[in-house]
Amino acid sequence: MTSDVEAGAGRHTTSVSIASGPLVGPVLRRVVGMLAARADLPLDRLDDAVLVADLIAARAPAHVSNDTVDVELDPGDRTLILRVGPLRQGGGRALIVDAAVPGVGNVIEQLADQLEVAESGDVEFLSVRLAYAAAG
Amino acid sequence: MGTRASAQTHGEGRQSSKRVVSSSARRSASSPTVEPFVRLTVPARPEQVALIRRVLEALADSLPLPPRLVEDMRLAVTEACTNVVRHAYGGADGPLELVIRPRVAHVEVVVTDRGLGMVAGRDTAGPGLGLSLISALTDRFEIEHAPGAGSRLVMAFSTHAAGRTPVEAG
Repeated sequence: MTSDVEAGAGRHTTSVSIASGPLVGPVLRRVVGMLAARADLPLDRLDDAVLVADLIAARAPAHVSNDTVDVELDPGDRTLILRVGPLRQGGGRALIVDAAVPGVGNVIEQLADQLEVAESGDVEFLSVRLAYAAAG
Repeated sequence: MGTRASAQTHGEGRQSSKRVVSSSARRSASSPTVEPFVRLTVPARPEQVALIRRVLEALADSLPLPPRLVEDMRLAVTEACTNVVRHAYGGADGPLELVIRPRVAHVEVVVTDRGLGMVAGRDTAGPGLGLSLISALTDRFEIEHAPGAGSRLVMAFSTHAAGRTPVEAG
């Protein structure tokens, strides 16, 4: 059996690992979109979640610690948390900075309700929480 | 004792062979050295099958795969994942892993669980038509399972099998 199943045996969360390349965007946006809908996020926040997924897909390959973009997804009550990583050291902050769009500002910072970079050994993980405003 | 069964089919003149080996032989034979292209791990629940189909849809939209291959893959993978949801954990929660590896001449899909193995659930007589369907839709498939240790179903879909015309590049 593969290691991910063993590692995930006790958690039962949804996770996706995609080799850097043309599949990252299409796969990630569909997974995030579906889980955002399942978390009962309203349409505008669902759109925000997909936009964040597209940005992560576009920017994360430059900051991952290996050749894959890994995202763990935790849908809750009108919330969706994306945990991106492992990222190389400094990659969490760099990914946020890279999401800046001229004339618009930093898109992830504007759309996320909460952003958090956590270190784990010599890698980092970026957590992005998206929620319906009334969910707090 | 765990078991392993495999079947190979080749276009029009499909030949099948099945064999059974022990789970210890299975472990020594498996060497996941190739990095998967897409790996999705989800809780083995009915609603997750739809998510898996969405991932296959993304694959179909992004790679120049023959439409017939995509249809066969979607149906076979749905059957495989439904088998996991229905039988692997006996109603309890557990992980279902899908790995998709597009290669030059084929697409390899691996569906893995850590449940009861490919055994009959209480509500049905067993995997039933699912495996026959998977056998018909794939060019090669192989099942490894051991009671209590889970199952691993490897499916290969050739891009050049009968009825699958490759999509013209560009």
